[in-house]
Amino acid sequence: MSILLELRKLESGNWGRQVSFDLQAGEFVLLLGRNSSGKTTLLNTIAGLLPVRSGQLLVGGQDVSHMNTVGRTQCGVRLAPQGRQIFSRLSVRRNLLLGAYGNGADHEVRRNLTWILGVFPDLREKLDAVASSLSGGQQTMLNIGRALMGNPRLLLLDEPTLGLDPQNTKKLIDALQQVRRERQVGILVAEQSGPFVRVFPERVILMVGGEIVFDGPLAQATEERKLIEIFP
Amino acid sequence: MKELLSCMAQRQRVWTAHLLVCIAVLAFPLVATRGMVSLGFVSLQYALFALGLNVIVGWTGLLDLGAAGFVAIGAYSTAILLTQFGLPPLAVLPMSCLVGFIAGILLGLPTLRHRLDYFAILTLGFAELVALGIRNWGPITGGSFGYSGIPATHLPFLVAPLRAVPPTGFYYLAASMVAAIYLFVAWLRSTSLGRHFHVIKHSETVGQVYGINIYAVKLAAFGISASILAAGGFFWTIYQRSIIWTEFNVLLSCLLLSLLVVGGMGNPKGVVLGAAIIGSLSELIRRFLTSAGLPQNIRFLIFSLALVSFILLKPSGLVPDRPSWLPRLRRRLDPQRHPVSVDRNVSTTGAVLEVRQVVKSFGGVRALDGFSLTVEEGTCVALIGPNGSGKTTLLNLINGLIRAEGGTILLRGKRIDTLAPFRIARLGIGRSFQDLSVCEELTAEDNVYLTAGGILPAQVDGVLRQFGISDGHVNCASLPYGAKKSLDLARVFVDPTRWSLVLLDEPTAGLTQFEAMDVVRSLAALRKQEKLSMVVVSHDSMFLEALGVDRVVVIHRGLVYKAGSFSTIRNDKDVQRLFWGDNREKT
Amino acid sequence: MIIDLFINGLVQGSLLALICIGYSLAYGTAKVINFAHADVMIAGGGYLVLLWSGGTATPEYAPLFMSMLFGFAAYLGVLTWLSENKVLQNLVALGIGLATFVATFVFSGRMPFALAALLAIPLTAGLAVATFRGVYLPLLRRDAPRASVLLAALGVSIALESYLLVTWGSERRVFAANRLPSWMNAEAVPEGVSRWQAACQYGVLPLTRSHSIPTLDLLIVIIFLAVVTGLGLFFRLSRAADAIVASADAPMAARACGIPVERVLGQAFFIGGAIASIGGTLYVLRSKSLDPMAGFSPGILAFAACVLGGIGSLRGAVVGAFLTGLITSLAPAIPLDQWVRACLPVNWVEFLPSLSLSDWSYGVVYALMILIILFKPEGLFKR
Repeated sequence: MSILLELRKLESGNWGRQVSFDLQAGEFVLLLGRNSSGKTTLLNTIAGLLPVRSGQLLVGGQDVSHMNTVGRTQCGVRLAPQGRQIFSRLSVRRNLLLGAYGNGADHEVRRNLTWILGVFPDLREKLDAVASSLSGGQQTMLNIGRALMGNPRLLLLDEPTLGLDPQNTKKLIDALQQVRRERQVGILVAEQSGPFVRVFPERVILMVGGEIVFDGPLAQATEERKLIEIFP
Repeated sequence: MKELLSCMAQRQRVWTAHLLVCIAVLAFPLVATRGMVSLGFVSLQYALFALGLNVIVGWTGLLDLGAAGFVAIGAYSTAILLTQFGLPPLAVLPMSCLVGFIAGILLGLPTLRHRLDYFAILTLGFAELVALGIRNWGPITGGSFGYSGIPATHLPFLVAPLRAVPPTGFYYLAASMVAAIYLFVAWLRSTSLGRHFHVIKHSETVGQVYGINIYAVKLAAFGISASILAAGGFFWTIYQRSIIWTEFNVLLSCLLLSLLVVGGMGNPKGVVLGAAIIGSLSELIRRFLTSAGLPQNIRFLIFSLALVSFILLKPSGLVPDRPSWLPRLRRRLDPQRHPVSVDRNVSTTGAVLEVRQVVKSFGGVRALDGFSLTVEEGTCVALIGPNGSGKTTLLNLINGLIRAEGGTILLRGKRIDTLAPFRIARLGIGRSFQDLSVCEELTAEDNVYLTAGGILPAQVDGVLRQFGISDGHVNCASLPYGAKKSLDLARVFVDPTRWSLVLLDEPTAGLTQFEAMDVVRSLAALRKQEKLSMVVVSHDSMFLEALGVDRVVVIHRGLVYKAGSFSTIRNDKDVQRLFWGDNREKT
Repeated sequence: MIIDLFINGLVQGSLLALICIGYSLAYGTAKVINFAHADVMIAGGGYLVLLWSGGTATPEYAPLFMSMLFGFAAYLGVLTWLSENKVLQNLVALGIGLATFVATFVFSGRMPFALAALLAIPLTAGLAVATFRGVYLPLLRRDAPRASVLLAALGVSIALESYLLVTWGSERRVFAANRLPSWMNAEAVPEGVSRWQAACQYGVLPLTRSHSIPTLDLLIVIIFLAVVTGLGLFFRLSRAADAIVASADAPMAARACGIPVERVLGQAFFIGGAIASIGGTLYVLRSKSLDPMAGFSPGILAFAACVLGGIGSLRGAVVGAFLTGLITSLAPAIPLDQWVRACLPVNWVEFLPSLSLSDWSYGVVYALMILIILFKPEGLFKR
């Protein structure tokens, strides 16, 4: 398996600390940490919304450290930002179509749309409704669907379960598992809490104060009592 | 001791510099031509304008786009008082200042409550209305034709050869006014009001939780600024002896603002110097244009372009000013000075804080859904819960920064949820913030002084060391993240007698193990010492354990999920499931 | 009488609306109160007059100064649109800028009206984009505090206004009416002339026996309706419009989708500027003169109109504009000063300010704007 994402002593944000790890294509990695631990900053930096202060960032072997967001999306990096941030005045359909901005021909886009509506059936009913009328859970789905419309190689999710009730969380988890099955996407999810951890225990990265304190399978983290850092 | 000596040496230097400048200013007319003296007068006039505008824009951070309006008010009231009432000029000067002050307060009352954008537009609209009003009030102001025939001003106190022959007399009068205002403004900075200006510019929220009445302080700043601008208008009138409404337009406001931005704002020394230089440039250009027969608009073009260029070069340049805190060594502020009415009466129930069924929603989502909490006197309650469960919202409600839609909050049996945030702070509720809230342009020490009441330097040094900040004299921007967060706590606890209840929002978030240690030790010690009641929001179990929390309340979806002692909650299976799903964690 | 004033108010409202749309777009997308917008409009009107009229209406240095302004504007404006390659970008933009400069200089006063009017539209739009690119964008990129952005906006407005005042002088410049096509000049209509002929030859369309409307005014309203319809269609159908709305709603997410937010914002300014240019042209034609000082007053007026309707909302901008137009047109008819004089004793009247609302017409709008901000800052409509 090829290395999809590689961080070499990447410094972002203002903690003055560096981060290094890699991610394979098709891997699912959970980025855990409390508030202010640097998860969001890291994801934003990988997506190109924040500048790289030092170090290197490689996607598919290509150095993208100095590329702006437009370039990164064309390299296949897509972020579903924290807090949903949907385009509230546009319809669901237009939100999704904008997700494919500049990416691919019309028929490809339509095919993608059909697939995504299959992954998130809730969105199909609301396709022409204005996005602000959707419930919290549906908006989260829209956020992630929009990111997927760009046909990314690397999908970044920033706290997708924030404010989500258990039912929608389950739907989200099912959807992500489906995505993982059907497309070989590398997924990096920043989270604070538990439900994901149970379902995707292969690899967790723990962040505290802008640096990585653990990187490995969940079982090992539990054994080493690392999760205590993020009580309870 | 060495510090004290170096400070004294520095002060000597400062005084010497001031003295030299004064001598230069006084001696200038003796050696200069009439043209240069009148240039000097105009520069002094601009320095006055800049000092006034600086108070509201530079210090308090409020954008007053209608400065010309206050200048017009000063100019016209001067004209009317001189001619219609025949008062002597030296009496008219303070009166026009007073008129300006009143105008500032009157304008400020309705406008200062609004956001920056709207406030700026309101001041702009006001200035236009003033100009229009002047044009239309023919009988009093001479209407469209302007107001002329203002008598020559004789200043009786000067003798030959420095007789009050313009421009020399005006020059000295202006110089004394500038000196007086400069001293006033410099004194103002060292008062608590001056400190409050800085706090408001940095963050109104911080100001509110430290007991500053934001509205009143802004009003004071606006009034003072308006009165100084009106004084500038006085000089305008007596020099020109004829004024017309078209002079006091937005072009003038823009020119004055560019004086401030280009010349420098903040420190009064810099303001006076910069404004004098830029102002004399402006006057020289004006003279050149007049003699060359070119339109005056070129001057406005130059200065507006300069304004835009300077802002582009230094977008945040409207902010930094390192206040000189030298006065603190000279004065020992009276420890009881700050307005505190800490209520330490024990309520009938023995509880210091009671939150009863508060409800708060944001855009359709219920952050708090009938949440209740009781904090007993002298205890420490930890509040934990998944993200988005309403913890920070609760703290903001207690502080009064936001209003609940339902329910009540009582401090020692008295309702506080209807009070303004600064009053709640004055009753003794302190707060630390989850996000960085310190002023990065200032040093650590200055940050503590900014929000403190009467404290001693030793207290400041002590608290900084206590919270692990080794060097209080460097700019905060160069401190590590953990130090900046700890600084917030240092700021709260520099004078613990000020609070009876402290709310801490994720005090160790983003801190390393070592940094968190310092915080834990200090807080535990303070708790014991001062018998403070605390509400702590945190995810850090080691921190909570070391702090010795008496009770843990788990909040989920805006309601109390579970409550109990630390060990009970820690081992509770339901709570673990809440956070970790079905993962069984060995603790 | 009232009906005439009412119609006049509607026409003024249409003109104001064309400016307000631009304000609204700038605020909705870039979150800046673009004080310079109205000045851009007047600059556009001036450009039109320069290209077409020349001679009596144009001062000596105007061709040079206007060429410089629009050449520079073209350079900056084009920079916003091109691709990544810095060198190529600058060369092309420089080329277009120089071409504009030369063309303006050479063709001053010699272009036929229609061509000049058409050419003014993209170039004025370019000026609007230039203000965005040169001033607002760098500030937004560096996350400048709102105070800085507001001050810069004021500075740009004053700079542009001063530049125009220097170029054109501060007096009104009337251009010869006979150079305009006959239907633009309203004259007395003789008896027995058909409606159509009256409209084309005499410049007035009779509506009823006692009321008529100048053809130009009618055209203004028609053009306004066309613009609004076009804009509505654009926002409903076009993908580019979606990108604009998206960048306004959630700029970070838009960027994360690969939308070039900066370029999109530039497009919003372009549209606002183009519409303002149409407004400027019509304004100049209606007043048959170019009044450089006119830039500020309709500017603040249009801004007040936007606040009335709710800044940031296109619908609000239009409604606010019409309200403002009607108020400024109808207010002078209210004999307020007569009423007050009737009520008060004679000697008091001496000291009162003029209460004739015609003197205060702008003041009424400012006062209204102030009241709206104080009591209902969101205006009548939300985003």
